[in-house]
Amino acid sequence: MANGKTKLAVIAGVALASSLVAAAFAATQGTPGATSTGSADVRAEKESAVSITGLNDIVFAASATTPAPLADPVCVFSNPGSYTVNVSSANAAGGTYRLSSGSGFINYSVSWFNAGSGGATVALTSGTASPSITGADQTSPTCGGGDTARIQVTIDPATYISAPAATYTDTLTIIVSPT
Amino acid sequence: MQSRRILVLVAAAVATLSIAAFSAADRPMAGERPGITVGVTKLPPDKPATGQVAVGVTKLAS
Repeated sequence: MANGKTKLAVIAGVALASSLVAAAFAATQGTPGATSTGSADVRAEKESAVSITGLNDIVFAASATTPAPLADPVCVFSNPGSYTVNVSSANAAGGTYRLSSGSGFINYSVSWFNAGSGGATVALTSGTASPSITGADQTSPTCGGGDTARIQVTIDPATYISAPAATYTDTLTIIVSPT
Repeated sequence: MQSRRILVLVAAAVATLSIAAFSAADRPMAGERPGITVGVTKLPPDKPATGQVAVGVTKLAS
């Protein structure tokens, strides 16, 4: 009989404990209320973006004498506002820019200006990134239809005069990176 | 006597579970945590832009 009472007491205890555990889980889970209040810090890290547009080929007029420098205005968009530019020549010898006829070469130099007109100039070396340049458009990837920089090519008179008559070409690859 | 002991044990178990229940209730729920930081980092950053320009000149005989 005592054994039966004991069993009954244990069963009752377990049932009570189970209901309390269920109540505990109900209390922690809850459901969202209409006036629930919380706070959250929202952080977004926006990557730097850059683009270069408005590039045109630079073709000098045929001439027996050294042509005057030519410049091509371009649009550089960089949301930090500054950037580096790395302009490399397909026919470079070391850091020297060269035009090639296939058998002969004419040296030339490349300068970068931080404005469509005027501005500060940076002399470039083929395959080497420039120091940080300011003046990029920070809001419009198309510079609002204008230009924020220009690339200038100046042919070396010494190698031009001594080069045989021919057509000389090169391809410049321009890499602009935000800084 | 044995029934009494059992009842004491049950009472102790109930007390323990009650404490556990209150502790659980005090814990913040997922939707109630203050100061949650939500962030996003888009990779890769600082992707460069590239372009190409042809340069050409025809040297005439002097």
